[in-house]
Amino acid sequence: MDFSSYLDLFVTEAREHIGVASALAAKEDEREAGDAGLRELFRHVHSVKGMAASMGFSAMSSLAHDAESLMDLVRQGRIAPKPKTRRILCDALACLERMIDRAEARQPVDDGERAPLQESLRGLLRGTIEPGAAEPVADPGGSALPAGTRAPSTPAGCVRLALIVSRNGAFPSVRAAVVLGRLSRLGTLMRIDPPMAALRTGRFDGRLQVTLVSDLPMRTLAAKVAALPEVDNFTLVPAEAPPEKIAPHVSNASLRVKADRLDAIIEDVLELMTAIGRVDSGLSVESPGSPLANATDSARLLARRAYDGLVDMRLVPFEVATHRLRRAADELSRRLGKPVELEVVGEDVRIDRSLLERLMDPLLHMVRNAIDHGLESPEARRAAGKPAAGRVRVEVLRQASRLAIVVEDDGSGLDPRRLKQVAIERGLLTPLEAVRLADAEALSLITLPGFSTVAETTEVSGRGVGMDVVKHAVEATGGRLRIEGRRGRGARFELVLPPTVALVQTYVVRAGGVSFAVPLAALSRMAPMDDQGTTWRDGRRFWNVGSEEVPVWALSDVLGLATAPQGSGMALIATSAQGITVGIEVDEVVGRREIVVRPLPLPLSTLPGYSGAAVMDDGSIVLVLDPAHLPLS
Amino acid sequence: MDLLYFQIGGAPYAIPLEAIADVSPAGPVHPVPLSPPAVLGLAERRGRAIAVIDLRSLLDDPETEARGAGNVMRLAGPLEGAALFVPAEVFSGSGTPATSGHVWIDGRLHALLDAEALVKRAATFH
Amino acid sequence: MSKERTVRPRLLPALPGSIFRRGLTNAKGGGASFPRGRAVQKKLAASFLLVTLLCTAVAMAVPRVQTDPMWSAVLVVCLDLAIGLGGAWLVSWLVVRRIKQLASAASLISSGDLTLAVNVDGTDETADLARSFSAMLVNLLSVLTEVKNGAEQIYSSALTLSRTTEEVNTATAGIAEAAQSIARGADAQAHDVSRTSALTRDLKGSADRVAEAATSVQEAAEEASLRATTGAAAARRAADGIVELKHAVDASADAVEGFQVRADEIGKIVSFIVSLAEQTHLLAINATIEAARAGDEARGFAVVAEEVRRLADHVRGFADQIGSVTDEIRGGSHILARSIRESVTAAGAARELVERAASSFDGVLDATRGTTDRSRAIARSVDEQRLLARQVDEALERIVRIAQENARGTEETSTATIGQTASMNALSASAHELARTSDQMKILIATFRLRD
Repeated sequence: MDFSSYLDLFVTEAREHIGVASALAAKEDEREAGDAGLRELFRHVHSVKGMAASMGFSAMSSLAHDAESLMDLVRQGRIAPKPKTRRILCDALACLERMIDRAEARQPVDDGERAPLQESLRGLLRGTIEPGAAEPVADPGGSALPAGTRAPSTPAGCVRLALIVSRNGAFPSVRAAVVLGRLSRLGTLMRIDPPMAALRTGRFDGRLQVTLVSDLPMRTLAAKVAALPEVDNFTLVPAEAPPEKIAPHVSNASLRVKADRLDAIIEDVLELMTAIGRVDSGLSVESPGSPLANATDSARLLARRAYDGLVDMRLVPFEVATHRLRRAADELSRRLGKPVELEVVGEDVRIDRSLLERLMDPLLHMVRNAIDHGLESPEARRAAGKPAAGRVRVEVLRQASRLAIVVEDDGSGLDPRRLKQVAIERGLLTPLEAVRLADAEALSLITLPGFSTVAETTEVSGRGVGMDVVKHAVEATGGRLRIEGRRGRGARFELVLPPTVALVQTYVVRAGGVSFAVPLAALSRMAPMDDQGTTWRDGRRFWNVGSEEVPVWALSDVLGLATAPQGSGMALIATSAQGITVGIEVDEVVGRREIVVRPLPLPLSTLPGYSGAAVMDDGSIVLVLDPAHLPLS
Repeated sequence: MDLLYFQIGGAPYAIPLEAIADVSPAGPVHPVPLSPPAVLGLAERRGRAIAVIDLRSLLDDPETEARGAGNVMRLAGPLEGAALFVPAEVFSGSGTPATSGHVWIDGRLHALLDAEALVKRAATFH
Repeated sequence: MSKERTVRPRLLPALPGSIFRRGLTNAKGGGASFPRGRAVQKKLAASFLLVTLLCTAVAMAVPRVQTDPMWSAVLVVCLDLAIGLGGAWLVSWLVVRRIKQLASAASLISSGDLTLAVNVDGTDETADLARSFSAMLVNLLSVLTEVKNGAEQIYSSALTLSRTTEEVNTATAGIAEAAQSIARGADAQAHDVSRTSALTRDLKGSADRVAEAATSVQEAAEEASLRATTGAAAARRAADGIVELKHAVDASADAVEGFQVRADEIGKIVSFIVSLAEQTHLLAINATIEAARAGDEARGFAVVAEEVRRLADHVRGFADQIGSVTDEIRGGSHILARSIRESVTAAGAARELVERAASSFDGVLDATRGTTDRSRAIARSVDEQRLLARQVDEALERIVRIAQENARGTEETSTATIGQTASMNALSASAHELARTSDQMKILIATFRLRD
């Protein structure tokens, strides 16, 4: 997670906390402040500790933790509030302050000051800790672990966690969601009380009960929970009853469960961001700089943090799918007696897990297909001069914001003529159409339902229901299937997938009176159009960009919208799918926006020219264009 | 079986409840240029854009005027993101299967709709 | 009145060197003595001689030329004859010429033309004769001219006299006529006067009647005034009554409008309920969907949702019913409100009419008041009229007197003019005679053609 953007926020808040704490510590003369003062002091240091921990400043966090422990012991009366104690505390606070400064300046930690300070702190602490007892988990008012219930290093197993989520600030349910997100890293969430649905409606009083199965030791778990900044209070007890749902460890089933909740949370957070965006944009117009506007700003940042974290959680490296592919390949290879070498490239490429889920079956099918139909028998291969073992390669690539998964083999490939023949035989094509069909397009014939080029249908594939299902599945995700086949040298299937949900930088433009968004990544440049820079040839307009002449189409013409011929709009220069540089003229460029783009839903998912749609702050819908695939005539 | 049922052009239709995510009143629709004719456009539901399909055109009944403003049935499951526009009021109830493609609801025969087939057809350009 | 006789065209033979031309000049000298000449004898002798000589010459010459004695004799004879004739002619011409002229002149004179001039040049006896003749002519001419002038003068005077007498006659006749007409006019005037007197008397009588009538009008007006006052009071009462009615109707109109407003409110509430019911309906359906998704545990919930939906539909049904009833009520109240408003308008109109009646009563009152004043004015004017009538009478009497005087005067005038006329007539007759006479004289003279 990239926290650099939150540094400012951290620095400000941490400084504030330290400031107050220092002031309080200075007032701590002769127990004047009493318990309340101590408690407050404690809270400030605790907050700093948590924030530092989430920012990854472990040194700071550790120091703060020690200071916290010290204060707790003082409060418990186990350490006398001697001047020496106070001094150490003040020193610690000062040191923390300096560390914050350093962090702000992005300088690395200087242990010179901190280390000896922490030593003396720890010395003080150790002096009062009973030997053998577990390190007390500082918790004002909460119950610490019952001593001796568990050995520190054994996995905690199933625990019940009762949390009080801090209600400072807005959107406690979002904070709860964030907490849950973090908890899910610590183990497997079994049960959440109140359920997600309630959290979604915003009915959340701050109390959360979570049943968790964790491999971490109890103490570590407790510490980690304590380190969560959003958690004010918690209790951690072993769960007596077995959890209601036992989810398997690492399998797709458990992934599914988590993913559901995660997706829901992500959706909520996205909606949340949109809602806050609406409030924020309204406020920034009406009363910029007001406390409400500022609070909304912070809320927005918070939501963004949550979103980023959650989206991050959605992504899994492709390798979680690899082993299944391998298993299937091995199985089939053995059954058919065709030696196969399965190569998976790009296992570390992270893919949205639900997307991967949906593509699993199609990928399996394609791999099976490749082995079953694509690869020839070992003898045939040898005769053709190919290595005995057939090669099937699955490659995952990232192309700009899109994802592509390629399944190719070095088998017999696809023969357009043969395909046409079969199609005619099966009555899927008339001879006239077959003649007119280009070879490249003929390859798509295999995606027609009822198509199969094998004489007998095998058990595994070849029932003629395969490729069309694959195509359908791919298109349902908003992607496209491209087929290439070199006769005799193997087939290549490419799944081009759109990003599932993404915050995309776009330019909002207007054409024909309608607003559209164009992703920045899809454009190479933008240039204002005027009559001087254009030439006309064969009824087509050309724009002189640098040294080349780029054909320009008016977007309103391409989309069939009412044109208001303005003559000088803006030309967006992009590269078409065929690799040609093209220009698309729009009437007006409204501005840059970062918007949430989702792929067009069924039945529009295959419509070329769009990469999705977005819902703007005001609830209106804007279509996001895909300049490379616009139908330019 | 649990169903949602309604009338289009006087003809009764029904769709399995499990195919539907929710029903909401029809609202503004943002047309998508170059889209198939059966697709009215995109509408906003819960912060997301869904594709609204005109049931009338799929059932070859484009002349029906919407009674009231009509309702949009958002599809669930793998078809999520698509929605069917019904120019009439929608009711829920249970029915018993009748002959192929029909169900009995309250003693009346309703044609049973297949959401997936509808969406598939909506994606074509005729 | 002068009549001119047509003059006969003058004969003027244009002879070269005619003695006639020169005649007058000498005549103007008048009384000249004529030299006596012997020119004519001389000329005769000369010509005789000439002839003789010539004949001798011929007789001598011809035989020399013509040897033939016969032919020469013949020739001589012929030539001698010719010469002789020539000589004779010459002589006659010399002598007779002038005498012929004079003869023709004398014939002219006898026919009456005295305008010719006689040529008196030459010195011989004929010239003498011509001269004398011319002198005689001149004298005659002057005498006759004078006579003619005198006659003309007389004629013109006579005519003038005649004319004048005629004019006097005419004038006299005119005067007579005028006098007669005056006399007639005077009679007529007397007639008129008596008639006017009669009229004036009538006028007086009618004025009296008018005065009577005015009095009765006044009485009637007073009565009318009384009645008008009563009527006005009654009308005012009626108007007040209508105003009360209008208030009452206004109140009911307001009430009806208020009722309408409430009906509208009900309508709004009903539509609100309807929309609520619709939303509830949808909610129930969505709840059913969720419940179905949640599985068996949510069965109960699904049932509840279904109940809610049915309830919502019932509510919707009831709301629709209420809605239609409210619509009916609203429709009815519309009509009611409209008819109330119409009656309000009608009441207003009625009030206006009553007010107008009241004001017309007032008008009558004013009128009657005016009438009284007017009758008094009438009485006054009647008195004035009577006075005037009297004055007229007196004037007329004066006129009669004058007329009578006129009549007398004219009679005298008439008599005088008649006498005058008689004398005039006599005079006129004499003048006529004179004119006739002079006219005759003129005619006589006119037979002589004089220089004009």
